[in-house]
Amino acid sequence: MADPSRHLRALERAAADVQRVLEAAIITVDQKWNDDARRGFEAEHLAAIRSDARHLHVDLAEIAQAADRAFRALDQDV
Amino acid sequence: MATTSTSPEAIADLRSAIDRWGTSAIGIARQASAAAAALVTEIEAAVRARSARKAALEALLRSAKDADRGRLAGQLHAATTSLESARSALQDATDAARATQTLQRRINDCGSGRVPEASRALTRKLGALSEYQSSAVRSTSTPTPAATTVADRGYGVQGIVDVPIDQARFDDNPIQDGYYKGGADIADYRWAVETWETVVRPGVLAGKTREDFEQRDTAIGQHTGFRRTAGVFDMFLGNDPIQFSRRADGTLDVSSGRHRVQVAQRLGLTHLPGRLHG
Repeated sequence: MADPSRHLRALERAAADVQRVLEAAIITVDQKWNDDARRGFEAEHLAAIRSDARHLHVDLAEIAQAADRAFRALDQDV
Repeated sequence: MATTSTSPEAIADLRSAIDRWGTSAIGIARQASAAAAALVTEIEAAVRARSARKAALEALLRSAKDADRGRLAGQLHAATTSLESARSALQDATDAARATQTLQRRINDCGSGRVPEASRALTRKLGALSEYQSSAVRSTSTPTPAATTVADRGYGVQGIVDVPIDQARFDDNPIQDGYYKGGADIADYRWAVETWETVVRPGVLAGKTREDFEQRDTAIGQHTGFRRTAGVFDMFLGNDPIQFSRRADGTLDVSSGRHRVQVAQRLGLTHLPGRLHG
């Protein structure tokens, strides 16, 4: 049987990577664009997107763990 | 007055990073949902196979000779344990699949809503920066009168409606003071209109009041001066709203607020709140 939980773990790593890239870009931009408009953009747009990026990573980690548990439980065949 | 340090390249980089994240995130969430669904399918098949095996052993045991009963009972016990493991696995996998569906909906909402909205806001910002690299303030070109639509966005202020500013014309009454009005300059007007669109308007639509913006200004040390969100509230919804009136040809005259309207037109905004007469 194929192991879909392995695929989920790979997707969790990919989510972590894209979140890291997004945060790195934001940090770089913070050094070059820092005014009221930047703070307004953070409040109105960016904060929600960063939250979704974190959730994608963290929630996928939990989902991959649950899938691992399921796969191991199934493997306890006799 | 706030110090502005803005790099168009930085804004463009941020827009690219957000767009790339949105595209990647949608793909990851979609694949995760498919992987979790595949796991459920696999385990459901295992549950069916193990149920059938257990049922077969139970049938054999019922008709077995005494000599075989002990061996078959052992096999049935193992089959029962195996089926319970599969059912437990199915519960975990089903929970995981539900979680991925919830996550996928959230990411899809973000990718189709929040990400493009953020991208458009940054595009407007880039357009504004490009526009304001030119210090000369030109009179607006004559817009083509269009069908008039005035939207009530629910700002909660009597008589204030969203007015389509592409219908506002200045040809017969151009701005001549170079924006140096009351100590405010063109950058201040740009800030005010951008702040209306990105901070105050969404806040008001979400239920915030002038007092909320005043508290926000206080929290960041903006007690006085032009660049206050409470001041922006006053400019658009308070004691200094834009005054529009309808001309016979359907276009709009602006008796008060031409600076704000012209800046908004250059920023690419389509509507501003104001009082519409006639």
